[in-house]
Amino acid sequence: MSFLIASQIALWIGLLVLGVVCMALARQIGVLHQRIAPAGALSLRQPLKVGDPAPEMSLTALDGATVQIGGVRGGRGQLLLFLSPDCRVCDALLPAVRSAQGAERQWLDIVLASDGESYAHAEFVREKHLSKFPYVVSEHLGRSYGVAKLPYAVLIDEAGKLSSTGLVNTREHLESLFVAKETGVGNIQQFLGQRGQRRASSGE
Amino acid sequence: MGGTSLAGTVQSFAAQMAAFQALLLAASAVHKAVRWTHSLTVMRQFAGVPEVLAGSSLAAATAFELTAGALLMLPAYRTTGAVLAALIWTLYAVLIVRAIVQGRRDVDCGCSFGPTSRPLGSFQIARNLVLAALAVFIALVSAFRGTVPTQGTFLLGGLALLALYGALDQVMALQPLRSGELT
Repeated sequence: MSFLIASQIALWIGLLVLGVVCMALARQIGVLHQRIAPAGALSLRQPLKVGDPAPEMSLTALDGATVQIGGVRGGRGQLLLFLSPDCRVCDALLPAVRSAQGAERQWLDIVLASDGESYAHAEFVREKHLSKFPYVVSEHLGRSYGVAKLPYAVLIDEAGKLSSTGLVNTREHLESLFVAKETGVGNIQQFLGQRGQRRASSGE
Repeated sequence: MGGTSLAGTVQSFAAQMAAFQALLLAASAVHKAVRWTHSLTVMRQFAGVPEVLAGSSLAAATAFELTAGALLMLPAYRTTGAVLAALIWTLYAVLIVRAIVQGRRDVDCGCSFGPTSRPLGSFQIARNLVLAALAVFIALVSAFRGTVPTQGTFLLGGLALLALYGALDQVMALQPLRSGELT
């Protein structure tokens, strides 16, 4: 057997092992995806329920523009993200919010909301380059939607109804709101409850 | 080997690819046989075969795959095997395109070796078209340039390529990221 043939056999064996290892790793990732609990936004006790009409109001943004909250807005959904300039978790979430604005732009408008002194928020918008988002400062808005902790997000569907809500600490939490809307499951508690029922009925 | 000339190299490459396609077709047939009940559901829901014909259609598909695989391994019948393989891959690609056009992206096409979280899309179509093109290449080389026997190294190479194919299959079965995820 020549050196060329021997090295070819060795290379094929190496490639075979590499392929099997890659296959096993990819399969393991798939299994992990299935096993771990979904990272969903935790819904807090609040006055509004999923499916309720979202409270409608007209507010003035920091840049002076009028922002319509809730209602049927030309068939587009609306994400209200409640945050605060002194909230570190909110800071960490901003790249995911920018990313979501691009990925979901076909159907979604994102509105940033907070309360307190306007000048602090204007500084926050400047520092974090948030000028492309409508930014409203309204205590009434937060109270209407039962916001108690930050960062908190409320997704309103195209018909002006509450689609999903929750505490959003990470990108996964934020995206879980969109998945919740697509799948018709309101929040992580509801999803886990349904999964428990499915497992019980199938005897798992 | 087929020699050191360009013609010999092309013949050897075609024989190598034939061994890979033969193993892939055999694996696909075994997969259908092992998961017979699931494959019957695929026949009905994905291929749209009526209930009464699902069993015989599945048996025919399995037999075609096994036959094509066996013919690809035999130098004298490699052209026929490659033509049969090209028809099989093209038929599967057409069925996938039909399912997508009909808005049935979430239907299980049975074209993955494990469970998949990814709806039907361009990857599945491209994969089948590449396999069909490879089969056409094997058929053309075998018909016009001659064939070389299937050797041990070709089988080993075919197995390695099958393992890489399986790895790609598993990676593409993972749940897709939402667009903009990495930005």
